[in-house]
Amino acid sequence: MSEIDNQTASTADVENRAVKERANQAYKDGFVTDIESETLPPGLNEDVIRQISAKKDEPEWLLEYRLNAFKQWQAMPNPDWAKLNVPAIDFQAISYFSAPKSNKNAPKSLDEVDPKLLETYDKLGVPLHERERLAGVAVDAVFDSVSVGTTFKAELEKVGVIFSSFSEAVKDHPELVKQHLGSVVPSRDNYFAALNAAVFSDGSFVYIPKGVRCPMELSTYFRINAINTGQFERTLIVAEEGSYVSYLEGCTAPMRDENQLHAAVVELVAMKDAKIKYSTVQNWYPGDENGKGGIYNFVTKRGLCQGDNSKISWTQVETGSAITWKYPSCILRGDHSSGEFYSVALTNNYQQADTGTKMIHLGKNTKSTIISKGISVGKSSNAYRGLVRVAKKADHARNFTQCDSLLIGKDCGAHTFPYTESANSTAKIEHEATTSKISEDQLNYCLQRGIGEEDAISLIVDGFCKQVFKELPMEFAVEAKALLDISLEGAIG
Amino acid sequence: MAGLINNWQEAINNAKALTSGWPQWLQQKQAESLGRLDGFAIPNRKMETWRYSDSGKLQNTDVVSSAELDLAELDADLCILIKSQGFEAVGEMPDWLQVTDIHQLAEQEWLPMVAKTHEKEQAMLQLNQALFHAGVALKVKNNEQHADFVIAVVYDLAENAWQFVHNHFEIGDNSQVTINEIHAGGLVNQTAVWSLGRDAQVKKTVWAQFESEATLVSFNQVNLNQNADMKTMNHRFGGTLQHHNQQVEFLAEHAKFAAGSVNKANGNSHIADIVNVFHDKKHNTSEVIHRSIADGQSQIFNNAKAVVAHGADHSEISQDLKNILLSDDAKVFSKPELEVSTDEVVAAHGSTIGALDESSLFYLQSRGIDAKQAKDIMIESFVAEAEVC
Amino acid sequence: MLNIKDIFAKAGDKDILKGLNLEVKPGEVHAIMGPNGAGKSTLGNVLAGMPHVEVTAGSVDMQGKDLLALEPEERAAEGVFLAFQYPVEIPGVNNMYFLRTALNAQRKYRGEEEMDSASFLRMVKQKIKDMNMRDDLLKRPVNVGFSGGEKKRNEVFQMGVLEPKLAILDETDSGLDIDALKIVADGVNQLRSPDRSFVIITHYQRLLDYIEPDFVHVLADGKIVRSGDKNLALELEEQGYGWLNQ
Repeated sequence: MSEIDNQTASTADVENRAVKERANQAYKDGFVTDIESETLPPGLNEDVIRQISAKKDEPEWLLEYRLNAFKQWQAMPNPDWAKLNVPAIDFQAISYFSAPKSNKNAPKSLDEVDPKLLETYDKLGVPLHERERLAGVAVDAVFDSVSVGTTFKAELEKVGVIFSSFSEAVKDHPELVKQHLGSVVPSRDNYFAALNAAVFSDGSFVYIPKGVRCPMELSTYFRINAINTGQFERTLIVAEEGSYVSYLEGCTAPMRDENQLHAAVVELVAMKDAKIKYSTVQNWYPGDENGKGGIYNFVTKRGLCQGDNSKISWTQVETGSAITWKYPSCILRGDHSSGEFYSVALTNNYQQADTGTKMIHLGKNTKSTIISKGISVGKSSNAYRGLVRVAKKADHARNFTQCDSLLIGKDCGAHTFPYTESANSTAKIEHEATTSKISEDQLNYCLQRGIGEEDAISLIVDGFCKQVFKELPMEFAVEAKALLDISLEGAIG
Repeated sequence: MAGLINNWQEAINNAKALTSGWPQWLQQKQAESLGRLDGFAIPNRKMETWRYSDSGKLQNTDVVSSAELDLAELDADLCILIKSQGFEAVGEMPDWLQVTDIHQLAEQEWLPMVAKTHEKEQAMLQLNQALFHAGVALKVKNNEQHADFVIAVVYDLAENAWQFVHNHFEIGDNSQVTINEIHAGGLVNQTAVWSLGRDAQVKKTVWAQFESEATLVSFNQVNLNQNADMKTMNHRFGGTLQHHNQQVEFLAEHAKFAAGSVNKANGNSHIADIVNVFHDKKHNTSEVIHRSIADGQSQIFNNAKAVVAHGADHSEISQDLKNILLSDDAKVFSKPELEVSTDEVVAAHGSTIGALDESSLFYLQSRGIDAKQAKDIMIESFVAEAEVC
Repeated sequence: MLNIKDIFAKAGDKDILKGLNLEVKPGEVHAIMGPNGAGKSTLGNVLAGMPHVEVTAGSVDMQGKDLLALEPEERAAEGVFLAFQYPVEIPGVNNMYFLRTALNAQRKYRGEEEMDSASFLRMVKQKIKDMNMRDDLLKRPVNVGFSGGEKKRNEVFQMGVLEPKLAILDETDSGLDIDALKIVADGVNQLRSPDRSFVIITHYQRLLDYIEPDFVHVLADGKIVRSGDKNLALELEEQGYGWLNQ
């Protein structure tokens, strides 16, 4: 294309040109692993819950916890307040437990893990082998419902850090699990949290003892493989006084025509002076360009800043799932505690997202920062929903929220629903938001400098998200940017 | 819901007595509305639009009689006093203006009021449509530009029971007018439809300032034609409960809507200020500015919502909600919302809750102004930003 | 007029002033110079009574009164005027109204009669003429939409109207072009009198070309480390503040 063409290119041209022509790049993580699984038949009742608990050799108190949650769930209505169009979910058509068969007698080390599983994680670019220790990231991999291997355990144990699958933690550290399970997200909290509490299969457990700075990034990769299976994992991170941990979470699933349900719960507890940084790159299968298939992602994530001066920081890059419903939140109980939420949510095709955060200021001099960037493409719908609440006793609490939405294309939607509440006259809450389409001036400027329209859009979107990307650990930032590029491709026109 | 009907039985009887001579078609419509009440729940805290108002206050019928209004002070060319039954005009009625009782409206001119959002929470609107027994139909002819002519609409209603008023304001093509509404107190459920013709311009200022117990629930529907321009300024203070809802619809293009509110609450007052603007057509502009100050044990809720339909390109939206808390027992809730379903839009909003700016207070004090007066000046400065007309 | 004895002050958790002494006699002009972060602005803020600046030790006597015990508005009425480095914007409140409120509040404090609006208007119009400023300044909201230079001029104009005994100018010269600088200096010079004192806080010698100081002090690390006459300012201009670290 000549330079003249570029100079005179109107936005309409831009939106109709090459980008459209390029084939929809396939969801790169969409392969299915052919592996023998032991799967419970679909259905949900007390018996199923007893079976899950029995398969996992759980103590009686945990079974009680599950059954109690199940009772609560049965009495709850499915929430309908989000800006989402959720088809009725048949909870009896879902299987609530699937485990790779070869994993039945849990492997003692990674060498015993089915090579096919390891291959899966290799394909995903997740380093499970300790020989890849150079990556410096400890990984817990959750395949369908169970944890298949945790790396660097020995190194972490040396400093007293516990990083294991949730099931192992129940066996090895029952007192810690019992103390904290449901302390931040009680089972009655909401519909999907109750469901998770009843049927959760596995997940990760992290404990950082007093004064310890976790020597490496901890990471969990979640993978749904089996057909008609829900994934209900549970993550619990406890950071004792003065400790620090950075935790990463990645999620992928095969391409299937059926919708699959993912209803996870994440609980974080930060004691005095402790800091937890939690980063997510969520790339569950979003469905195809006609909106067929994809994961329903209904997740409850909440952190409790229990001690003075504690800090919890959530960073999320959400590009996957057919439907996303999640609000990683902070309860700022300790004085001088702080919460952060950095989010990029990109929706394309028929994806729907209703995501945001809650910052509950209870302690004095508590501080929260919310930076949310929504990008809507295709026929998708992308909503930010946030709550900032300052309680009566939270003197000098401070919040700043910035929430920007970018629209690419005529048929998508961008919505902003911020709730702010204050009952303290010394507190200060500031919220600002903008909604606009991608800037023609910026596009034309790039074109004039010879940058192709697709690259230009990717460049501008990347710039739009910069504030959030810089919060991600480096390896993740690169992955997030690549993901965003893929999600943008073939989408404009 | 039978409970709801029972709650308002006295009002129903009262209304029936006052509207017995009304035209058949209107009585029919009211009866239909009454029938539909079954589908509504009594306002409660689970409702989004009543979440921050104590709807229990609707049951509170203690009303301190309001101060006598001095019409001369209103500085209006024409005063229309709306009574529980009928109205009274004070001043000269110009020939370009027609004011009649609401029930004199022709059937084909009737505009039904339908909430486009939170429909299930509109029991009070529904109740009004079933029971209104007073109000006027005010019409300005085409091509009459009288921006300097001030019409004051005064709600001069009985105080001992709930009063239901419905008005119909129709401003002709290319006409201009200034209308002030003054609420004197009591227990009032007031609704109105505003229709602005092509190129019409309206400046509307509403005073709902209550020194004593008073309850006011309102719903104003604004319909704007091509190039119309509506500016609404609301001054609200005190009362037991004030719950205001404005709904704006653009029927064509290039129209403008601006709403400013100054909400001041003290004591146990609850004020809710809800503005929903529907951008269904292209090239329209809306601006909402709220300045609220909560003192004592009061609560203020600010909600501005703009919904931009698919294809409503070149919409411009701004929402600016600022709030100040003056006491440790007051509460403020603020919610600016944007729902945008097209890409050619410029939408921005901001919402803040805080105390008076300390550095500004210090600046004033450093010039010799004492803390109390500095605070008053700051409040004046703060609310001045909301003056849209 | 003003006697500052061994002042220690904190802003937040940071110790800023660390034993500062300064005496200013009626009619004197003192220039306070020094590197960034030395505590120059904090000195002005301590005198005016800015919240969040905490005096931990020392005393300030102004004509026999304990200045530190007074509220900011009482200090103003006692004759302390601070020309702010960053004047605050107050939308919706016009300058005239603001100034009249301030002036009458001060007069009331001093037991003087309030000034009616007609005489106030006459007085203000005369002042603005004397100071070579444009009178549209009066109708505009306080500092809203003013350029940096206009804000500084407005500060000096307010000083002219309020006629303080002690005027503190906090970096009033920063960000001004040469014409604006002259207007500001002119305003100050017109106000010089045997019973009015000035403390001029500045980073550069430039302003002192137009307002000749009686004394120049160097403030560094919260203390006055050197004092002299106007030649000290010239010396500083040449040498910079690097020698302080030696």
